[in-house]
Amino acid sequence: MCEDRIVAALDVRGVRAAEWDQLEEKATVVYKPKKISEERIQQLVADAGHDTDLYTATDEVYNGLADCCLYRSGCQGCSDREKHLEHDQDDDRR
Amino acid sequence: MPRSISLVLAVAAGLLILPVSAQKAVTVKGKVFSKDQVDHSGHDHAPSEGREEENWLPLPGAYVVWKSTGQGTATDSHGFFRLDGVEGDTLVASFIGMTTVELPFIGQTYVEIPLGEGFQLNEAQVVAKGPTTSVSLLDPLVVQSLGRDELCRAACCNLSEAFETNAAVDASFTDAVTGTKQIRMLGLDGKYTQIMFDNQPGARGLNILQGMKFIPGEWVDQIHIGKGAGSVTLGHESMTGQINVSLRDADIQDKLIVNGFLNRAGRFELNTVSRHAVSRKWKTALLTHGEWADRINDRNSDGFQDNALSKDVVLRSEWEYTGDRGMRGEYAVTAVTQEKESGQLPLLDAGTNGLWMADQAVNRVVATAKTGYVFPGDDGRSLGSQLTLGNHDQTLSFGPYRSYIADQQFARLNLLHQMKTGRGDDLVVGLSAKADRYDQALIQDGTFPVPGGIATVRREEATVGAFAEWTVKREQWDVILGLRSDVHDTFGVFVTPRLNARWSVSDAISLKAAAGKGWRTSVPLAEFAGVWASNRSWIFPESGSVDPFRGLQPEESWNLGLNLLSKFTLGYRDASFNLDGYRVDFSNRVFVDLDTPGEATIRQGRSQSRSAQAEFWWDWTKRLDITLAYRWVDASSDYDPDGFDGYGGYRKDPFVAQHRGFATVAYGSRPDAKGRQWRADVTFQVTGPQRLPWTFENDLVDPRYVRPSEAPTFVTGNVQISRDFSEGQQIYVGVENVTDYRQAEPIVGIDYDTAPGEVQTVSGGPIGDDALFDAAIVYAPIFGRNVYAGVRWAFGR
Repeated sequence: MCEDRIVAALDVRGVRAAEWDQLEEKATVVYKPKKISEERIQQLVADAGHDTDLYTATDEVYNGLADCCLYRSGCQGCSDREKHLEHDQDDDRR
Repeated sequence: MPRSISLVLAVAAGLLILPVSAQKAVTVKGKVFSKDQVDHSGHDHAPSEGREEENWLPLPGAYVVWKSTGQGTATDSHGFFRLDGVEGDTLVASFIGMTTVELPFIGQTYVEIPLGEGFQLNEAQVVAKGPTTSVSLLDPLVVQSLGRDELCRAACCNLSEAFETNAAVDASFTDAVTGTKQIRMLGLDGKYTQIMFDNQPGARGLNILQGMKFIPGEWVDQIHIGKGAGSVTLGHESMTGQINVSLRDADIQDKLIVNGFLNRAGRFELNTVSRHAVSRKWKTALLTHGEWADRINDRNSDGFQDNALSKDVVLRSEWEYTGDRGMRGEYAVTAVTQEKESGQLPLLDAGTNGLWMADQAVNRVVATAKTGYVFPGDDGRSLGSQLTLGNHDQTLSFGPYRSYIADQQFARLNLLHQMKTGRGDDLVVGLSAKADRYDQALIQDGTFPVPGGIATVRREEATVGAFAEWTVKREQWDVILGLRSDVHDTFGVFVTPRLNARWSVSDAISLKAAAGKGWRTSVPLAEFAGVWASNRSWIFPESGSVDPFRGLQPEESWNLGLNLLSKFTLGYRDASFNLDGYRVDFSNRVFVDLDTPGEATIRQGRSQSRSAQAEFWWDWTKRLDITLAYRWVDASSDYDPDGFDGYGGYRKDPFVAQHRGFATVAYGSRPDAKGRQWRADVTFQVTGPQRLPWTFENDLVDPRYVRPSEAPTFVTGNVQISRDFSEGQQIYVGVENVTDYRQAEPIVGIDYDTAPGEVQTVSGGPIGDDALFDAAIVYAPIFGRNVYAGVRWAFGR
């Protein structure tokens, strides 16, 4: 869900590729600096509801996100997910 | 504490090309959510104002399975799951009392799947644009999966047309009269590809040529094309590969999907797929198809219709059962009725013999039942049964003197027991049984089986078998070892070993190998349907005998293949390269020899096919992806095992192009906020020379009966533009054969020099009396450019 929105927000001229890593909460963006600035990219992500180093999403947009995408509050799913992944790796060693 | 997401920015100066990068993880992890209906006190945020409250909670105990294999797991107490993934498959998440959600898996490492009643499922589509065709780096089988998006790239009215945008499978017309299309894989006829519908026998027996036609494109959810020796659990009949078509069922998102289609040739189609909830445990889907083609076309003015007038109705009712204790069932009945009429136009006074007409009528009913039981608590252990029962009647009538009336009753039972071995490897063991009864009557002018008369030949065959398949999965490699043994009531014991292996050279490159045997019994008159569009006389191995098929031995072959798949990024965007080589060696093949004038001789003997294919796919930009492919085939058969005639033993198989090139470009505009989007698809194919059946001896009768020994190279193309209004709502317009390439003078026996609209036969007499009349030497499209338009509309998501 989050990925869809972030990738769609970065579907603009100058951005060659955009990927969203849910586990790392990290977006990787490949862009052409002549056509788009880093600030603009950060602004686009913030406009989609996700705070970045430079910009903060408006509360209006942020509150419209699905629960699991509410990174600001350290969304409930995230901590569980990390624990779970550790647990999974234990299983593998069994 | 407020947190922000981090952005990693890479700078692309122009089109920088990066070296091969690591591929995404192989295991899919995810979480299944349900709508919070009772209690949301656990959430630390207040519902936003003026907006419907939407809280999602993790859902423990939900099933998450792979659609193709049915293998899966249940979510843990936090709603999490973890599954070994195969790209191109579909994840199906379900929970009693909730909607089932399907999520195409395209290699994501983490997915979130919401279940609920009335939820906007388009949110669950994790990625809007991805490869529409995919091959996994991790599956030891070479299986190409075509999703709905791929099928929507061309007109694709029925399955036989679904391969227009695919390089691995060719579809070509069988003749200039009936409009039947047949597929070829690895340079060999479609009958050597095991065609399954929902993993149950699809096109086989009398239905082998038409079977694909009876599945409308709109019914199809996914097509999996497996090249080379496949799994022994599905049977022994796969010799070049397997095509499994998974049909849409009660798990579709929308309540009703309606598809209408109209083309320039006057073919109109109406297809619907609808689902209905019956009770907590039962749900059902109804699939319908109606087709009418009642416009007579004769664009090349040869006095013969370019395509058949037809009326088809196909209905399928499917019932799905989901029990509380691990019982699952899928039960379906499919009924087909088809009438086709084509042939000579009533332009001439046909005299006493009448016009040369081709009429076909098919009535078919098939019932299938799949029942599965998953042992609770015993990880990965399950029992499954597949039962198919059916009846197929067909009447073919070609020309004034010949007809073929046949019916087939068939039954097949497959029992599978799947379990995990000590080290977590999969073991499937099973038993199968199948039986076919054919009643065939042939009326052929004066020769068979009693001169001028009719006789019915009954053929009954039964096969029972046992099989075991062991799958060893490791990080770097997998091996699937399969063995089956079947006993045929006439031909005795057959042992069918198969091996598939994968080795991951790196995260991005995998090498697969396949070796295996396959065998089948042939049904010649039904399999070589194209030949009927001629006045050739059938010559049987034991002509004059009561059962002319008696001398036919089963077809047997070995298939060996190597496949290299590499996925990488090119200019920061995904790309893949696939190189493969296959060889098929028949110790016995039943084929038809068309090299003698006026005769269709059924032969058996050795045959071989060598093929290689290279395919490159690149997600060039966010808007555009391209596929380029080249395929080489060398297929030949032994026409003269005993060395009696002077032409030499091996001859190239007719109608097989040694070289074929293929290019597609797919464009998708930026979807707007409502998901509206333009799409355009262009496919071009270059078909190299094909050997044609010999016609040089026809010169003795008339030079106008002679056709070239080789077909020329030609280019065809398809173009389609579609507009998505929102998910499931689409209109499309396209052009088939945009280059308007048409085979010149496709019918032998007609005087093409006469004025348009007036048919003259070369011999001057009625076509029905001309033994050399032949409308089956067809290597290219007859109809030319064909414009079509359609609409696809989903209701009640």
